[in-house]
Amino acid sequence: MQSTGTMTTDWQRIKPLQDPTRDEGAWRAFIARYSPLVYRLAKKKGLDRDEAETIFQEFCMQMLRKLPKFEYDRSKGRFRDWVLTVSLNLIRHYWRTKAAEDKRRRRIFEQMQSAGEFEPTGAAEWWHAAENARRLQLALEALRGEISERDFDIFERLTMREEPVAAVADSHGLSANAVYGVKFRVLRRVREIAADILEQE
Amino acid sequence: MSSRITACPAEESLYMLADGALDERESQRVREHVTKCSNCRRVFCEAESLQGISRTLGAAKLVDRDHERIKRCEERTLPKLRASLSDFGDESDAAI
Repeated sequence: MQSTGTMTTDWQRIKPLQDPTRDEGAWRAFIARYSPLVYRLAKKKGLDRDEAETIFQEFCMQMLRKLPKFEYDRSKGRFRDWVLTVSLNLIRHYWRTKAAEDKRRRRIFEQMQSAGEFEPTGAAEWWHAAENARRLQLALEALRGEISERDFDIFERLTMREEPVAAVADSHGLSANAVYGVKFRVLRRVREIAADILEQE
Repeated sequence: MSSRITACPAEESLYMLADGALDERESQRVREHVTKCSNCRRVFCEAESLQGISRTLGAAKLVDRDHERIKRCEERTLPKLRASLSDFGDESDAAI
């Protein structure tokens, strides 16, 4: 199997966005990377679908403003933790604005404030689990070009679609044992790539 | 339970054990072996850990609704970004 030396790290993926004149390809990748996370965080904090999408839009605009001046220094913290803080601040700001207009929302906002709902420490566990899942998805995407179509199909059907082993094995003319061999070989590789991504974040 | 160590099962059987895919009798046979064989125990423990990754991936899979949302986010966000990016073209100062 190939090495992951050519893998782009999280930060390497983000860095092109520091040059604001870059084409929008890097932004598309950024949106695909972060919109599921930020959207789910906003929903988790009580916002509806439209509001959560608005938060993500604001999040991107903040990134556009902040990234050119952002200095990556891992000793001061990880990029992903900074992203969590920015997201929570936006959600808090949104709630505060709505709270000023609506009595019921003001009560909810105050309860959330006192419960520490907008503090990164409170959301960190959920965020890191969500990030871990997203990292595994990215590792799997990176792996797609590295393994055969057959192996990817076997893995995807067993893991993502939860199809019965016998059906997957039968469709490829393999034994159940062989199909399990493929599944665990791919899982091992996903774990390796995800560890590389984490290491370099 | 016999104290004699039976022959090591195929590695795939250990994967199947970790996945709960062996029938009861086979599962018991392989489990008995695993308790006595440190090498197979190591493979089995790793398989259980890999099963955790499998479960996470399965639970986190992006469904059509997620892809639609990502597309909607692109459609809503990119025009704003484009407008701001063109402002960047006029100004060297990055702050908006």
